[in-house]
Amino acid sequence: MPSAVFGFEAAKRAAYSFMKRATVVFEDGSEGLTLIVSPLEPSADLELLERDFRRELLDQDLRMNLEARTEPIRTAILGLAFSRTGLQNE
Amino acid sequence: MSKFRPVADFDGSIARAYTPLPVKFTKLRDDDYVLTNVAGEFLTLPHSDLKAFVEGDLRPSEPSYVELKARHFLTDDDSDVAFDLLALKLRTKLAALANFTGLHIFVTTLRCEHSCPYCQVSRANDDRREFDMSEETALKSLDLVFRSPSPAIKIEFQGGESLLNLPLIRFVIEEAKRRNVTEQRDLAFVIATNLAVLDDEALDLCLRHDVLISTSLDGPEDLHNRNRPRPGNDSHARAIAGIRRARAMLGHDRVGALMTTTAASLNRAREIIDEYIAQDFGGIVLRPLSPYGFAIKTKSYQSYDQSRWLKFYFEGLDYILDLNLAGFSFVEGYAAMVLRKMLTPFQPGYVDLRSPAGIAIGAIVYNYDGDVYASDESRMLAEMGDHSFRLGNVHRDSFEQLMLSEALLEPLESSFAESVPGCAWCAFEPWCGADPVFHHATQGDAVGKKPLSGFCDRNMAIFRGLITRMQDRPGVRAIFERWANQA
Repeated sequence: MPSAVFGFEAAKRAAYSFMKRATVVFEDGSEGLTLIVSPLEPSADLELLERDFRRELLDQDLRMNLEARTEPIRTAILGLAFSRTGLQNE
Repeated sequence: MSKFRPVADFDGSIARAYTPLPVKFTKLRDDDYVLTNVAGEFLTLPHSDLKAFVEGDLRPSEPSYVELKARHFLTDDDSDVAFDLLALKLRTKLAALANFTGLHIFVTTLRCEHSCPYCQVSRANDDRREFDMSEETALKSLDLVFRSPSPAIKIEFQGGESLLNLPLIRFVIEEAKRRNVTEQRDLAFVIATNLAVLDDEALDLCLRHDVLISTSLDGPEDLHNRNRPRPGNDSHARAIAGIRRARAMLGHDRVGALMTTTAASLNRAREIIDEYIAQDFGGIVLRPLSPYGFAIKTKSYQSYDQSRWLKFYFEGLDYILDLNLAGFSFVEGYAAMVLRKMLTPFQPGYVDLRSPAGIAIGAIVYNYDGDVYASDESRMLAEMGDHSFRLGNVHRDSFEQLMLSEALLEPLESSFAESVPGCAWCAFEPWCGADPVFHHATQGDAVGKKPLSGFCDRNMAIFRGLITRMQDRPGVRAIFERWANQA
């Protein structure tokens, strides 16, 4: 799994989301990040597991992209939401 | 500067710069995803449109673009009110937080004449008076009740069987009303009772002080009596007789009922709902069993798994929807609470579906012995020997000591869903809750690993189930909007 495509953070999030189905081992080598995904259920469909994990990885990457781009707006909206509550002075 | 905008601005097929607003997304089913904004408004998109949206490639001519813009998921040159509107909606959603604790639960006694195997409060035998709350403890508890700044105060009496200590209930009501002459709060009272020992004295008290009755009805007679054994095996008959007497004296809408699902209930969703209809209730809350008290000791909690309960829940919900689509109005209460979050700018008061968690700042419990707990489930846990959520004692601790105790602040802060792995990026987070007590009870820490959480699993299934029903069944959206606005 080339780390240039998916960042370490996205991989960690995907591994977290998959803890009910698989264990994920991270190996950081010269060729980038390697993820070893092993099913918890021995009878699990490996093809399905791999497909679902790749999709989760893509989703996490998109989420992080979106979070980074909307962070200033999110802060502005939260600031606006609390601007007249008086709580910001506490 | 030109007086007119360039032609390209009006050509929807040309990509135009837009700014995505804060959005979370989670898979719904197959290729469809749910997106929510900070105010909890939602829409669904196919994955290809979601990807195009995130990567800035969505074109204005596409239906998804129009929908995303209309619901404040993106902003462009033509829309400049989205920030203000989202902030206003968020402020409305969070307004109740500033009010602080509104629900104050007094455990009048642990005594009970029922011996329900699933009991979550670990009742005591009904002749042991050392499990009764004293007047002195009640007075100290009332001091704390009125320290809450909430303009609306609800005092709920629970047990054991709360009515077995009726003199204490009377004492608390009269004292609270006396203090309220100067406090001027919106004061309300609820008695949670199995109704088996209801008498004229209790009803007269309820009538004089406008007290609501909340009782238990688990379904048809055989199921109810099996779930709720008592001497004489007549729990159902007493509950029904009590409901009728209370309605006749207090008014039809002054009596509510709750059911608990046991393993014996799982194949009988329709019969349970039919029983509620037969007893002329306008709705039902299909509740799962909680992992506390006798439910754990007697292995009732382990006797069915989550997927089996969800099958029961959706079978019941679909039956209720069939009834509504056929013209008979009837509400499933848990769905109604969730839908209020999904479809309106308002938040229901339900403690479990709140973040920050509702422990102590939404509801608080004064136990019979003066111990103060962060929630009803916290004292259930304490009856099992785990005092993690005991904030202190009314005789020993001040309001400040209780509300600033580590037993409260640590789980409140650590479980805040916005900053918890799994919840932080989940589209359902604006509708969900933190429930640190559940996660402590089931996983040993207040945050919990969400992919392994029964709370998370159950609520995500319900959120998905509600959305897919709105998509798949014509007429359901209108029913759900009605439920959301009356919850």
